[in-house]
Amino acid sequence: MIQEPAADRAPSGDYPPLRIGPDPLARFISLSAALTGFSQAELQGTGMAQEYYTVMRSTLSEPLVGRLLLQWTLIEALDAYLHDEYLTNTILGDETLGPMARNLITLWYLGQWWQLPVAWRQLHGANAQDTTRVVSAQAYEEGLVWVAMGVHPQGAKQPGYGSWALEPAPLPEKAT
Amino acid sequence: MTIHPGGQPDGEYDVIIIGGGVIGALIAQKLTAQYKRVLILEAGRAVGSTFPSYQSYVENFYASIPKTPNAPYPQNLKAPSPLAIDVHNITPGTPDLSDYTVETGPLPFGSTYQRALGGTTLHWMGFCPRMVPNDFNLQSVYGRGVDWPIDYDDIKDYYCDAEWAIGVAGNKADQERFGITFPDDYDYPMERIPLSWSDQQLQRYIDGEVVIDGAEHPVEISSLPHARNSIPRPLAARGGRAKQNGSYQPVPAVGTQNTGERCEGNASCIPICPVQAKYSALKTLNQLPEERHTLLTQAVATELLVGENGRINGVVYKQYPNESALDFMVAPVTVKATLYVLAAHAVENAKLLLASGANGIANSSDQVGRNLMDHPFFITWALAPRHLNLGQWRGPGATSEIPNFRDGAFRRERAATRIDVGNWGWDVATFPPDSNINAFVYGQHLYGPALRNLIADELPRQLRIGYVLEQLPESTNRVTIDRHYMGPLGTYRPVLHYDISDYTRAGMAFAWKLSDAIFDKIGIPQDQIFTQFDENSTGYMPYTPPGGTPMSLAYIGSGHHIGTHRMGVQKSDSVVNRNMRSWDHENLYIVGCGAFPTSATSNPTLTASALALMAADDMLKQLG
Repeated sequence: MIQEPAADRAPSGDYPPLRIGPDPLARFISLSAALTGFSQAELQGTGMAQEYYTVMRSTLSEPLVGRLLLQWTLIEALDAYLHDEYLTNTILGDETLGPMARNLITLWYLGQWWQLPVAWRQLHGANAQDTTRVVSAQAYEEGLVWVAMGVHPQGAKQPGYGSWALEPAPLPEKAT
Repeated sequence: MTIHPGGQPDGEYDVIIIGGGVIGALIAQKLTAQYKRVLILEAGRAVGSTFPSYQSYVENFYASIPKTPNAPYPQNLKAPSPLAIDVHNITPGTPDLSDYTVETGPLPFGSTYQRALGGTTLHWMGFCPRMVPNDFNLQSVYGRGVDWPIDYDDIKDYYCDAEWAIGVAGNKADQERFGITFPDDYDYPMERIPLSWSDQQLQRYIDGEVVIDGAEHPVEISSLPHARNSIPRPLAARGGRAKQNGSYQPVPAVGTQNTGERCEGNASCIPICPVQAKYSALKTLNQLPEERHTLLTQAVATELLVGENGRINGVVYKQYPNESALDFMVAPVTVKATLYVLAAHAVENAKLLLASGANGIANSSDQVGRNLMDHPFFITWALAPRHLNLGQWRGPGATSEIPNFRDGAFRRERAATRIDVGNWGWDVATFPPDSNINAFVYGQHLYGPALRNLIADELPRQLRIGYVLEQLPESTNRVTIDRHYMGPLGTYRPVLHYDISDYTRAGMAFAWKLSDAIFDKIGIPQDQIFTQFDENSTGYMPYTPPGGTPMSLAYIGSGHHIGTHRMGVQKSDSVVNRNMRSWDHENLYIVGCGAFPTSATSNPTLTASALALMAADDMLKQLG
């Protein structure tokens, strides 16, 4: 059953304490692919999936992570043409799941966790791990924003003397 | 290099140099080459003197938000640096205390420097343009500011020395304009840094003329000289004195032989070059002969002592055992030498002079701390058309400039400007890519392919042009000290008083027109130009051109602190003479960008380095 946007619902206390189901990392990666516009293979290629899952788990409670992954699992069970609509409405448009999902995008694109919005923290509480930070040096270097732009991360993966004078390598066809 | 973090001065010294940055390092190099013994006192930590310790700075860079100039270099509570992370516009009568420097306004100074071994060359961009001859004679040629006590002809040989001492990459043919000349048999030690792809694309559109207010102005994209390693030239390029076989050897990273002999295109020069292909003073310090120098780090000079006949007869310093040490654990120590060199940075030099003696020293002219200048940096930004395929975000921060407005008769009316064409997207204009993620993901709620495609489309087209503007010396722009604003170890925090005159604002207003003309020439439509300021912009200032309508301008600091102990021809209105020797204390030299009488438009380190080598010659004469 797909959850409707929860605008008029009480915070997580009203939900049964969700468990994180089987193979959460695989579901995290598949959700991340939908959120970032990068394929699961591209995400796996960064080597960051496990670390980012750990960041999310250590920053958000099990019921919240469970709810996010369950919601994505339910969406994935629908016909593919419905995925975008339901992702938009029931995850990104949800007052609880939306800020979490947007933070996952930032995590993948910049290697940064951004402290959740004030309104979200008022609903769900403050976690000591919920601080704005670069989660690791490797996370910075593997930021997807650089890949999307077709360049190396500033200060890492040095392209070599004079490379900047060359025509940039063409970017892949538009992601769909 | 010999570092005595917890140690003692070792024996007798000819010269004590306060400050382990580029100026102190170059002077130490020249003096020790003539068998003089030198003691260097550095207020900051010695990190960077080994390769692994430098890598810790690189790791800090990766881990920092935002990636400001000082970000890789942790704040040192015993020798703080201004961070300028969050520059505030200043409410009249309420000093801004949020940074190490106290800002009283009316405008924020908003520039950083670095108190650590290597100094601000740890995070400089490394541009090394010479000043143009008229810069030294602004008063006699244009009736503005003051003249320097030297001319281009007096400094030109020292420019050559400094370019080879630092290791500058450039082609002299690109720099021969506005009367800048080089010896026939001379060139820079390394070939010019290649122009970026973006520069090359823009060059096809920009080179030619622009029309502003009915007047035609030539514009062209030209290479910049950089203190970063490129392809070496034969040693014969040094010219005249040094005809040897072989090639210039680019100086590698400190503590390793296999890193940094070429710029690798890391595109992070500010705040840090990961491979140390960009020059920092660490390299020169590392080359000093062991037996002729001692380097004390974590040693904060707190006072210069004046003895008979006005001669300096000691420096008091406090050496803290660690950065968390309590102030009362640190005892003052006095060291002595024949000559004393203050090379601690324009602001710190002034601070130490004002803090010494009963009411300051070296200040019979009342000019110490005055005439503080920067190069207010005016930024314009736009999205370039797709067909230009700029491919931004690659290479050093800028590889080209538009030099045409560095000099001209217009300087009677308005500031000159040196124009950097950026390679890192909108960088200091909006702080991408973080700001783009914020706008796209949290503002527009984009995700998935739409997000990825927008980043791919927009960020490589981000074009930022920066206008480095001249400032005139004004006595009310100054560094002072105030016992209400104390720092650690009984030292003072610098109190900055700063404003920008209409001369510079007029230059900025012209720069904006120029920017519009350049963007138009590139074919950028109005709705793709994003330059806009209001009273909430950092560095906002209003300006009404003569006969025009009021407009909003804004600037950021360039990190070019200039003018706090200016050189001159007479002791009544200058702090030091043409050799940067104090008029009041014959064995005291006060060196660095603070000695500049005017700012002109050139990034100041190369000129300060040339002046330092000139001062070192005078020191050698004194020492005999």
